[in-house]
Amino acid sequence: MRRVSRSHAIHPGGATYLFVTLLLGVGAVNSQNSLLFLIFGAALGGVLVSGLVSGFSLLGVEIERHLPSRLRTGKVSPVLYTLRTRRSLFPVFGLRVREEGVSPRGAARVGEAFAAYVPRRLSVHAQAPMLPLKRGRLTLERVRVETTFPFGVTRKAVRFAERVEVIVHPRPAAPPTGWLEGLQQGRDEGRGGGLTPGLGDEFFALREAREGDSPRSVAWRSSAKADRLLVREHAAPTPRSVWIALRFSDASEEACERVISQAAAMVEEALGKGLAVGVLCPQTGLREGPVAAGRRSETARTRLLDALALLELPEGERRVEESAPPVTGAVFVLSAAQGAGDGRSDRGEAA
Amino acid sequence: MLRAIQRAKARLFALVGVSIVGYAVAADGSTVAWLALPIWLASWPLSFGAKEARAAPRWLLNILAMAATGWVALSAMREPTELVTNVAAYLVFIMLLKLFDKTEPRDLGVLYLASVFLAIGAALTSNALAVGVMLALYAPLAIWTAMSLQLHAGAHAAQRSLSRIDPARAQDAALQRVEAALDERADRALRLLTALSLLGCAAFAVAVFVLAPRTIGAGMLGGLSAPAAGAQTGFDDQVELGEAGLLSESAAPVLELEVTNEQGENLGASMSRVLLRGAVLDVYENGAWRRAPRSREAVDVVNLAPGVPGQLGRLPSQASGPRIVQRIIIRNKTSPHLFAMLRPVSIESSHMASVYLSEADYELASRTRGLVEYTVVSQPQAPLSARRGEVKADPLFAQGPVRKLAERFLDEAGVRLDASPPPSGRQIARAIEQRLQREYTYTTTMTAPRAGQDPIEMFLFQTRRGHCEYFASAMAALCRSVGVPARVVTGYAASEYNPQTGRFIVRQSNAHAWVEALVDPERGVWETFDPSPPDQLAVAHEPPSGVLGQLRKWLDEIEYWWITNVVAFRAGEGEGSVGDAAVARLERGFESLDRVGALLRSKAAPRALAKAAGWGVGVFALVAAVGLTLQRLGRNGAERRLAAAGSSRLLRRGFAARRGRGRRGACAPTRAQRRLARSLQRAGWGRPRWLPPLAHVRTLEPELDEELAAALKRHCEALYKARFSVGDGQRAASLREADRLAEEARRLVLRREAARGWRRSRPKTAA
Repeated sequence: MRRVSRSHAIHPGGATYLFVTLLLGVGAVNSQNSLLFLIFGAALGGVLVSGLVSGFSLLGVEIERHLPSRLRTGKVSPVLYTLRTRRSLFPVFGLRVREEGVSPRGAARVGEAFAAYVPRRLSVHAQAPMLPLKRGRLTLERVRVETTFPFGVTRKAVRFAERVEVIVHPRPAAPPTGWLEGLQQGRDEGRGGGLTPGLGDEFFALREAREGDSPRSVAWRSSAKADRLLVREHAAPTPRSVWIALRFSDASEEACERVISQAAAMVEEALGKGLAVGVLCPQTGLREGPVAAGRRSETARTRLLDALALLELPEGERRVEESAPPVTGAVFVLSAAQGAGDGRSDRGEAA
Repeated sequence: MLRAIQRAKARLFALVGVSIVGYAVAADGSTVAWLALPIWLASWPLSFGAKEARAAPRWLLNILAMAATGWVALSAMREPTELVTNVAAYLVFIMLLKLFDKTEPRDLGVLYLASVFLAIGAALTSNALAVGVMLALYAPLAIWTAMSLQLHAGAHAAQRSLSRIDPARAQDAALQRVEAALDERADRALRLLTALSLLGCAAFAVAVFVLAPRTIGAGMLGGLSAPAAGAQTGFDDQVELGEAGLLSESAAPVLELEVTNEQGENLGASMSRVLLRGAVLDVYENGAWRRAPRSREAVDVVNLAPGVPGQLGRLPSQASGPRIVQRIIIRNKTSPHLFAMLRPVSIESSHMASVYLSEADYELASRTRGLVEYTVVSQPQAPLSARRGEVKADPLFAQGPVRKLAERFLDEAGVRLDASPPPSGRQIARAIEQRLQREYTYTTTMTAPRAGQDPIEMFLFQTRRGHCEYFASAMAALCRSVGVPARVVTGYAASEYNPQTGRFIVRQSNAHAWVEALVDPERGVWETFDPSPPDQLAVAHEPPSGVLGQLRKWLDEIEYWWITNVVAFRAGEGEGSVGDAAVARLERGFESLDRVGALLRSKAAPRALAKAAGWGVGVFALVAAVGLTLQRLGRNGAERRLAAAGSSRLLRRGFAARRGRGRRGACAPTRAQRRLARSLQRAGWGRPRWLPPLAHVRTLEPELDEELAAALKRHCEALYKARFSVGDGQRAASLREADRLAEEARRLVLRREAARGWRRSRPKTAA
């Protein structure tokens, strides 16, 4: 990270120290007490040593910040810092690391990291807790590294600048109960089979055998009838599509956020059950998906939750009802109604 | 509790203890401080050092704190001059309470600060060597503790921030991380940094101590920050008889005395005892000797300037006899009195601006406190004062049993009062002195008289035992009863002469009382008489001999050095501006340069340079030899530490061996490994630095015979095992095994070399 500024200030403990030193000086001069002169000199030396040690400590410090790519509202995540001393003459003690310039204001609470000891020319890790409070885009601008070591006289600090943006996913809230029951049932009954050959359990078609086909897939009876070797082909397991539609009628922001949280929970649950999920918000023009979990479930999940995270609530136009774009699959409508504590859900089928 | 935090607390605990002991030493046995020590000790297992936080109830601590505040406030009102003592007592109380309080960083900070203030209080109370030693112990501990507490505070801040954000998962997580970071290596680095900081602070302290201009601003705040008058001197300027108890026998030094003649020859060895007068007491009332109030006219003010002796009164023309020069250093002058032999003639001091002289009895006084050094010239045979008959026969003793006893003593001594011519005052005083010395017993145990009984009569007629004040009082009373003016003098009897230093050392127990009697009323000559039995007195105050005595002499010497070079450093220096002092120092520096230049220009320059070069080479060789020896010792120590602790660099030791290669502190190979590396090097199989040992063996495998290759592999595996072993014991065992296998492999290499009969050319490897 790029070092941008240095600063130092008198620490409250340091102010006391300086006051005591001043008293010692006055006392030594007044009483001509030799021991007091010695103690006064040692106290002055302490100020000098403190300045030198803390100054040299920070001179060679370098820092890197490591953040998870996605955060979740309400979930504490660590911000990892790698502290390194390259040019320092001595090992470094007592470095406190804290974030500055977290925007938007109040979007997250970031704690303090503390590196008790950084060996000379080596690196150590320190971590600070971060608690995102709002979904959306979170920007971290600067890192402040400071120390009051060794005697707490001054608080010396160095600022490093590196702008990092992370997306904060909404906090999942409890989805409407039993919202997936019908879909699961239909799926279990074999409705809505796949249209392409694949490795699913359902039958797709018969075809002539080719080299490499497993003998187990040979349809003996049909082959006997057709007098040529036919094999059974299975259909690819195509999940059913589920659309989660968000509707923000004239409701409070809190209710809208709750609906988004529910949607996030529903996305995770649906993906977990192997369904293809899409997110829809006609009022804001959001239409993401449908994406199926498959092997890249994390990517699909991130894509949908990113869409929910970056969803901007319509300002003053929540009454305007937009017609839903045509989609295929089951559509669950989550609406944030005025005064409603929870979002209401309706289910329907669209084709 | 985490070890790192426990260590910080242990250091703070020790710091508090040192400050309390330091103050107790400074206050010469402050009761509060000594009573605090057991409580301090008990606080560690009970509260402060307990593994689980065990703070005393808040209400109890508050009540105790309020009580302490009230007590100290009352003491301050009762004894407003004892500011330092009262504040120190308060600090001790507060520290004891904090030891039973919470141990949050703020609490520890308060404790630390109180301890620092108490240490300053100790320095304000006394400048004794013991206090200096305690402060020297205190300083590194204070620096180390401050650093530990800073780390402690930082860890707590991180823990607090974690608790605020994630209270469910906090569970000392941040502290655990700090604990992991502050390992043995960090502790070592912290100790090193402490040592360096201490050096820095000490250098600055010495610079300030040496360069700070003295006398500028002295006393600008009055006595607010002057050392408290807590020192005991044993000397008292009034004699109160009739108290029961035991006389104090403190061996604490009070002053040093060097006695010479005018030619500078030391007379200490030839003098068995020197009586240094302090207070002259001439009024006896209610069992106590006091000094009669003097009018202002009877007191002369003698102004002093450095290097210029001030004359003490006018010496009569007929005064004769040798003069004795006394150089006296009073370690901590707390009373106004100055001490000198009878009859002081002149005084010189750079510590005092003026001296007060009582014309009647030549008692000396000065307002200067603390360490005072002066030189007095005395002429013992000179008359003390031209005034006569100031002290007449005391009506208290002119009638009654004391008079009768005096007459009996004199009669039995053959001194008849009604003889013609009448006996001289000297004869009378001498007879009484000898009688008392012969028939009365010296003791340090004192008995109180009955109600209404005069203590002198008790001594003379009843107990016949007492200490020097009784003897002096009795003799003064007996003399006065028969019309010989006499008075009691208190001061010190210096008898402990140190031939190595040529000085007498005077201790508190050397405080003494004797008598001065007017032996020649015509000339106004007062003579000193000491009625205390000299033999018994010598036995009672005999200094320890043998090893203990020698040790005490050494300690006295160190203390003397401390007093004269540290406590009295540049004391009494003439007042001058900072600029003047700096210019003077610069001038001295230029003078030194001039001298060097002149030496270089002289004919003797080549010889002087050769001599200097020879010295330089010699000193360098000596220092280098010592340094190399220390380095070698350190290396061996590092090896042992490594064997116990292990290191990630361990693997580099296999076949690696050039000594001194790499950073200091990197693990050095053992002897067996170095020998194996040398053998392999000679055989042409030196290991390149970038290649790990086992990989190196594999590259050599085609050209090695099976036995040697297997031996080298086993050695490497033992090294790896040592590197990745868990536990010091296993690691050390593996290292021993690696050494054994190294020896085995080396033997095989040598055997193979011998069989081949030739050596391969040595390739360039880094070994």
